[in-house]
Amino acid sequence: MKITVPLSNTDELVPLIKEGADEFYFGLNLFADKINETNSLNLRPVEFANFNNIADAKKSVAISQSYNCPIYICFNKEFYLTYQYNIILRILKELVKVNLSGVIVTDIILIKLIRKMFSGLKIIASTRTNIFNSYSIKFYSKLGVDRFTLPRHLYFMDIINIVKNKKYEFEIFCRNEDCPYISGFCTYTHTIWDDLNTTRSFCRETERSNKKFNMGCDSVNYLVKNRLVLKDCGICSLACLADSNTGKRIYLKITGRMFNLDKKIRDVRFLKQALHIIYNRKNKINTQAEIKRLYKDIYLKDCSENCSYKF
Amino acid sequence: MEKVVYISDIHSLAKISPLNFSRLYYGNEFCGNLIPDIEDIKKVLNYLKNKSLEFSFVTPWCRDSDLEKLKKIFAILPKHSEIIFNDWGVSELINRFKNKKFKKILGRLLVRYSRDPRIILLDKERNKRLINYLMTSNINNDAFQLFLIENGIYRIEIENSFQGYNFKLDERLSSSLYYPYVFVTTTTKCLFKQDFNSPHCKFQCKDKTIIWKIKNLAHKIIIQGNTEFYFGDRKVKSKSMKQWKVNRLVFMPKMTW
Repeated sequence: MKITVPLSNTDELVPLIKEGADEFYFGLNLFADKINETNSLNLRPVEFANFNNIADAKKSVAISQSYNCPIYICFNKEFYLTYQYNIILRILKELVKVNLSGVIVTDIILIKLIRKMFSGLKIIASTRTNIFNSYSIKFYSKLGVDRFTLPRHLYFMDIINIVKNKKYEFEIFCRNEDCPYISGFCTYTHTIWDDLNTTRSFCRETERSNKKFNMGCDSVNYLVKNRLVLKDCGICSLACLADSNTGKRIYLKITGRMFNLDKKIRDVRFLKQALHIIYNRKNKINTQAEIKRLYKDIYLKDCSENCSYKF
Repeated sequence: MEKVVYISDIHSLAKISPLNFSRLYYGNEFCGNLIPDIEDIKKVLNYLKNKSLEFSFVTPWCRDSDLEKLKKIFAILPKHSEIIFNDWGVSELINRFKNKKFKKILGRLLVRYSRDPRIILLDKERNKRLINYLMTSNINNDAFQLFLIENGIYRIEIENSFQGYNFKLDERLSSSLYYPYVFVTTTTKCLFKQDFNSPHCKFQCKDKTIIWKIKNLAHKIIIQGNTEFYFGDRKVKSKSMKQWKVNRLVFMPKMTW
């Protein structure tokens, strides 16, 4: 298993590689205006989650490749406006020159365009393509997708089934997020910016998290409260996928392009050392105990046992 | 204008008046656990025999085990049946039943578009550009429309959202407008389920609804089963209906069950 790490600044590259990052992904904002929902080329319309010029992006791709770490750019919106397709293709032309590894995409038309114009680029289907079954894999593989990011909401038993498909690589979310909604179907806006560039509203989940609920029913209150809790990770369960050939095709994806370097370093360190424990494990119980100890060492708090995946 | 009634529960069949509609949508868009039993589908098909109601089967996003259920259902559906799909994997499965010549319809979950009800809070005059963007979907892209046509899809499903749409459809395509409930979001972490990590449930959501108030918004979020909706009470102008090429109205008396 390899670790895929978010990047938002060139200076983050070397420290993260030293911690054990195997590959990277990043977003790019090229607009003079403030980045927002309407002009963003990816689903994180904030400056600090993106490179803000092509020169930095090119430099990062070149550095990453010099360490033999593949690096991907993220164009994961569900659709783009006509002018945005042209911008994306221009960006790709520039980044291919410095050996960009591939692209993370949702939009069917963009997948088709990239496959036609950049045959050497690896195409990763974003989690928003909703790969919930093996027939979806057939559909997207015909379009030219090489790797599939599995939805956070896929049940673990389904993950085990789907990754058996030996032809493809798969990304599985492993740290930081667990929105209660299925990302690829959710239509709440993350941020709506009005024309004066002030935030109108955030993701509905944020709104919920900040409120006290009174649903008039204790059982529902309990369920709502529990659903809101963000999950820690799913690394203990993922141990069962680490073996032999299956593990080689699995990429553990850390989310959070917007997080600071210290947080990213700790996440990479945790996963790298957890994988070391998994690959050298003797039995399941010991493995979990060791990973919990590791968690406490790195995050300075106990593992909440609030796992994304349970096996 | 074709008038359709959409039900997910066979017991609703007795409550609809066949004289008011020319087509029945049966099935579910949001949860694999609510895919109807084969026996129920047979009952519905049997019921329709003596009525002047056409039949369309509605399918949700699916896990592999749900696709196994759909394979069995597709095997008993009459030739040329309409199937509304909300998962490209289901579209791929439909293609396997070539001899059945099913008519594929792009479900509303695959019309990628913001349906955040808070859009109504935006000042229309000050946010023209933003609202225009929020009316845009993957359907606006001519290349996507062509992709649909090339894949034998000639109808798309849309709904009476607050902001409406700004696409122009290819002359070979048409659309169906769902009302009154507008889909907002869905999850596997269903509030009614005991264990979020398990795909199984005991249908605890049946006949239960949670109403959720959003700050500053008169319209409430309605949670039924694993899915959230709002009540779209805006009248769609005939000009818009023409622009979106709506020739089918889909009345959804209940949200899921």
